[in-house]
Amino acid sequence: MSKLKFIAVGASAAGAALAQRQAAMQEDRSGALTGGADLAERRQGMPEYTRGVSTGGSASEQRQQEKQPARSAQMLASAGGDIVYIPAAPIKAASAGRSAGSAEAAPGSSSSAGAPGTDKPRFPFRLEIDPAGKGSPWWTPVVSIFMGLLICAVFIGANGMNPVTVYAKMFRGAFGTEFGLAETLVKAIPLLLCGLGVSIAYRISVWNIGAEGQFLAGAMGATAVTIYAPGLPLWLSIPYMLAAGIAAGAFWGLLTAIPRTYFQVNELITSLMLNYIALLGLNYVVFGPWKDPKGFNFPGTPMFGDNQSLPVLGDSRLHLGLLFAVGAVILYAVMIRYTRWGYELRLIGANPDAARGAGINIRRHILIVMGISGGLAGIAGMAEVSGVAHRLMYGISPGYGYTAIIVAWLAKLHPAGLLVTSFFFGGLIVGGYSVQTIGMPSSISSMIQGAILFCLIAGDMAAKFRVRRTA
Amino acid sequence: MDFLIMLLAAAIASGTPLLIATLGGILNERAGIIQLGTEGIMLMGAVTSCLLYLRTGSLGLALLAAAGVSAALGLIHAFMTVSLRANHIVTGLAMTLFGTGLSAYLGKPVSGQPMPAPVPKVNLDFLDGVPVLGELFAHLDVFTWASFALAVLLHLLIHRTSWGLHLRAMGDNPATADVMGIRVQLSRYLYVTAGAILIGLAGADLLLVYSPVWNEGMTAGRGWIAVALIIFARWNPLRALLCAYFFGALDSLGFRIQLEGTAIPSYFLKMIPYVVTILVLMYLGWRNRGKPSGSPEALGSPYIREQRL
Repeated sequence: MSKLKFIAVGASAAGAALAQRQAAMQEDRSGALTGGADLAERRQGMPEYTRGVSTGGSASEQRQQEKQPARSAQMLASAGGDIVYIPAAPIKAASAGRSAGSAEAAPGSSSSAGAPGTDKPRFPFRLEIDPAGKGSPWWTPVVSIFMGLLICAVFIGANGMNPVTVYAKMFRGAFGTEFGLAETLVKAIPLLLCGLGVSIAYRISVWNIGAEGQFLAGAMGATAVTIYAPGLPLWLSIPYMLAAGIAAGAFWGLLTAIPRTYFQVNELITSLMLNYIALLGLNYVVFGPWKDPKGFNFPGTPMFGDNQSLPVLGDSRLHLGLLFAVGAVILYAVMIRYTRWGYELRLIGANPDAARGAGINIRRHILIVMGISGGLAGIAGMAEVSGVAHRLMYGISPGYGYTAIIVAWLAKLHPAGLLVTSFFFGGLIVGGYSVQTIGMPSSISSMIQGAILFCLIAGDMAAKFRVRRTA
Repeated sequence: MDFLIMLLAAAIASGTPLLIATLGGILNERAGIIQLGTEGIMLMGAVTSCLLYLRTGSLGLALLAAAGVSAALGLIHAFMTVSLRANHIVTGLAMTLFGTGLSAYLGKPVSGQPMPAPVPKVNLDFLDGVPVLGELFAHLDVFTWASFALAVLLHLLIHRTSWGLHLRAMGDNPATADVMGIRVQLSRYLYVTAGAILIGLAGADLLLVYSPVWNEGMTAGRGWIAVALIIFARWNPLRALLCAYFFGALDSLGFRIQLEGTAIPSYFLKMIPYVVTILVLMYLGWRNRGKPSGSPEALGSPYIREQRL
């Protein structure tokens, strides 16, 4: 209920509306039945692609519907708690006399069954989707962050801690000091790259949740260069590592995309399974063949040499990866706006059926996008081993790939928004570490992340509703 | 032979939580709601039952609490998907992330503590002498028997009663179901909640029976395998029984091979269930290309009574 707008409907209008609805109800019964059959037919005739993403499409369908208030549909309020669309044509027909099963009756637009036509509505206000709504306003992410923090405060309080102290400590740890700020930026780099990767995929409703696995694949790819070609000079070794990281990440992304495009396998399951496979693969190399022989059994590779480490800024831990990440965001923002590829991507996102009709090869786009998505996560993995950890080790990622999903969603898949949200979530991770000193588990930050995502989804949808006066 | 029977017994043990979670998922998806929060709800079910069992020592209370918490999560999912018409996939992802984080947070103090007492077993002593059946079924726990019963019961309900017909109608074509007089929104709430309770109990079963120690993220992707199992089982509870045990067998296969002594590193053996999941899904997709997958027709689409179709 983030945005409440009261729309008063005149009493006389409401009365007329009720009468009209009664008349329309009769026809809608039959209309709905045929509508049902239509639906079944349509669903069966749907091409493979839309079947896979029908969930993604539903939101856009809804948006489409809202953008067409002028389709001579009059929005009325009913007592049953539903929205009623009554097309203008059948109303005219009804007033002229009884028309049996008029063709104009919108299929499926059955009005609420059993709504008493004569008596007053139960509540003077009701909720309905605003037909003129233009999506959610820019401040819903802000409100949802606040609400998420509030919900988690309840759990923290239930655990016997003062939520204000905990949050203050987290904030100081993440943004209060120069060291903390640099750490936050360091954490923001992989989040930004992975978040950009998944948001490109989400744009065309490819639900890639495998950024974690692609990140690990990229990290392993980059490390392979240091293991098998240790003596290269800096100017050769860094590009090689970068290329290997991108290739490994893209390969991991394609392992999700190929089953999706050629075998109709739901990419959610594949990408998640690949996360576990990549994690086991990482554990194998760091406990097995790549383990540092002089590392006292530490599960990690030998430390990288100076020739294999990304240059850092001054004596902080902030490394060159920040430029990769910001560069990738800018490149993406330009590409999506000004290139043919970007246009096709936007078209697929807005309406896959129309895109298919326009001759766009959706399969090819899914493959390309998943390759890019994985490649970006691969860069993140490369930057993390080469710029921060300076070795591949057990537990190299504290769940960057999963947090990236929230980062992307909170930014509404917008490149500029990604810069802000990844910084914020970097701070959340650092803050989570900093409250460990007062006896809180660092998993507090993943709890907060989940709560924020929940509030964001609910807020986005709730912002489309309006409270309307009916009496 | 011994190896095979051991494997079968292990398959039943590790397949039971998968089975219960899959049945919960089938209930959800038959009603037309995609449930991807399985992993998070399982974890929350597991951690609640762990906390309650350790504190009170009462198994009944532990299960009740797990059911209550997962019902609450199910209600949230239903509110988001049915009432707010949010994207089912993103809502499910949020559920998983939230459940994973919250369960890790709540379970921190009890991490690594063993459960006070094992779950009671149903001892069928007369089976002890019988060669295969005795080894498999003589000393199963209550949960396993309950899950058998549940699978059969759900199959009968969904495919042999008018109640099940309504459920299937709702998932295939909510508009028609509505016209038939089924209260789609209300029923969807009920089924999503009921399904979430089953999923939460699957988590409780995993913790109480399969590995009776709480560890952060202990489900290790089982919730997602359960999501895949719904597709293998083609939304049918009896098939779910077979598929769950097949995956249970895969899950324990690696461990068994390791016990036999082999040169393959254990990491690769642990990959087996994940790799096979992908391969089986690809095989099914290839075999069923151009054919309907058996999924409910209206799966994942919000039902809005007045929406133009």
